[in-house]
Amino acid sequence: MLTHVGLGFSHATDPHEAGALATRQATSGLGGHRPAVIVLFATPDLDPHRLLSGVHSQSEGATVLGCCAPGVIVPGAVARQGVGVAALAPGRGLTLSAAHVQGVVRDPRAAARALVESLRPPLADADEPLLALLLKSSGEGAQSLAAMIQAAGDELGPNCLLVGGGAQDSTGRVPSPIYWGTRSLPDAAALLVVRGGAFGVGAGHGYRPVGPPLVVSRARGNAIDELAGRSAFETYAAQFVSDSGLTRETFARFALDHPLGLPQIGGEYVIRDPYAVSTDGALLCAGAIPERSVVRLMEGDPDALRAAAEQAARAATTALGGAPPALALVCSCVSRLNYLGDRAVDEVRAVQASLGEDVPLIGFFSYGEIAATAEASAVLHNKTVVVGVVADSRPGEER
Amino acid sequence: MPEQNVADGEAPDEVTELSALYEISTIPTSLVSMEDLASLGLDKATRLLRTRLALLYRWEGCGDGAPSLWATRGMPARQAARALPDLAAVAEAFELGRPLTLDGPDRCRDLALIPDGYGARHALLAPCGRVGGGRALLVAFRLADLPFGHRDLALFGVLADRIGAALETLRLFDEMAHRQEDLQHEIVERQQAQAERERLIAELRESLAAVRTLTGLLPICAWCKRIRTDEGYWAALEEYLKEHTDAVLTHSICPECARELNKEFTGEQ
Repeated sequence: MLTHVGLGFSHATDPHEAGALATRQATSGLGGHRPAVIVLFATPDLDPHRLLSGVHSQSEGATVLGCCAPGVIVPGAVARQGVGVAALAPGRGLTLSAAHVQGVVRDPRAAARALVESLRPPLADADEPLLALLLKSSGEGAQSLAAMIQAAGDELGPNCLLVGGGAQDSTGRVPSPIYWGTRSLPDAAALLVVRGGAFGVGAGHGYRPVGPPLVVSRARGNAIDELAGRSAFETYAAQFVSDSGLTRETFARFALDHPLGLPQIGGEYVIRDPYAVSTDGALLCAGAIPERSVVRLMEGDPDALRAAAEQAARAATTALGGAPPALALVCSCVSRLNYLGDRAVDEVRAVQASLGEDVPLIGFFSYGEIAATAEASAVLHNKTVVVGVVADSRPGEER
Repeated sequence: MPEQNVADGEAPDEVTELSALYEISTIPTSLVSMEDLASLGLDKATRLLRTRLALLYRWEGCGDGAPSLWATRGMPARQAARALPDLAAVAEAFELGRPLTLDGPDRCRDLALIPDGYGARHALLAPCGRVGGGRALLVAFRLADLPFGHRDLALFGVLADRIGAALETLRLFDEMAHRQEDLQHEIVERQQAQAERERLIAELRESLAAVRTLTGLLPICAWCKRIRTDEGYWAALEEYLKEHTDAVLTHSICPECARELNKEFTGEQ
């Protein structure tokens, strides 16, 4: 038996109705198979308790997990209002294990270890490839997410590919919970681990370096105090002299397509999103920047971002070794949604086109993206699209 | 000399290479804890060199004893070999004093540091510290078929050197701290001994103060036993003793005098 995936979506403004409709639509796409797991992403306007009661009413006893997000990704569309649901009935040989943990903010590393540990013995076999979807509620910025990613990556081991992100609303002010069963958890993380199939993860951002490399001469966690020995904002602004209108007030808008990039050997860049300027001229980023590291200012445009999303999907499917994807999980940065606006859907369409038009796809816009590929260890990304794909069989195996 | 299967045709990218080199070469070699150092080193090894796994083995103390696992990144520590096997490749890396690549699943498996099931294809070993006698070994693995190239080797070597230098600094700090502790202990002991001496001296002084002795020549009348004072008066023996010593005199009578007195009263001859 092959894996069945059903998708559902509802725009209904009544949360219970939205949850029930989307879940019913998803489960009805399983060809009569019972769902083992239901993954959902919903916008913050839908009251989580009523939403989850609606989902529960149609979930047929499946494990329910998901998170709140400013935008939901479904095939061919991006929704800023509504709920997207994927119902999963795994095929023979494919198993799904899910767990959640609360109290993440206090000690994210311990929470990550507890989360993975709670899935043993299903994860006892280190030989087997795995794909994990990691979701974390909002709170404590991207710092705690980075710590969770590292600890989860260590615990899950190198055969586990990771995809996921942090929950957040588009303003960053409304707490965004994790959904688990019928509960909405404000300080929690959820993990879904798929084993027994073939998996691939690809990540891309589409930003290119401009200007010279700059040394981070002083930094504290996610705040860059000094770049190249001067106030970080002054140095940043000096790189864009033609944009004379760049002020602290207009910085957030300007930085949407002018982030920072941490060079990696081989030419890649891990993006850090400077989302604000502090009163003393420090750049506040959605992730830590190590002191004495080198950054470059980056710039992007909608076409380059769309191309990167497509390339991420291609990298993920290439890792499947020819096996057709049964499911795609997509996490894209909320700042890409803010930057691209209505053109954000172009990214989703590009991913879909690369995967194949009939591949079920679900995802959300996140605050900090998680990717661990076959080549690179688990890292927190900003302004990045991460695509994870699941196939029923491994390369070379009989289907 | 083992095979150095270095990849050819790597895309040159001077900026990223120099950036990574700068980041690695500026790892502080002082004021980092052992925990921070391991975390920093493994973070750079995995992030900058695009390795999926990195391990650090360390010799305790000043290099005595067997090397043991210090830290891992990208895998649970419980799945790594706790001790560094006595392998030719490890010895070779230390003898060379620079990074060494091992290519192919078989050679990675021979290292026996990580589970076979991980399917590592390329390994990179670098001694952290002095040639022929390093005190740590940095190991990285790639699971994808992407051999380590010249740039990787060079960066890994710099990273290992920084870890070695930081370890040496930490060792010196540790040694200094121990010596300071010993010194502190010695100071406390000396202070205690000094205090004890002072207490004894004070006690003695107190005892001495309690004892008043008469010294020198005392002129005494051979008949009435009165003593001539410094002022030239003849004082009764009791008065003199009372004045010049702490002795308290009480009157009594000796048996001989008692007999004489008795004779006087009774009129006996």
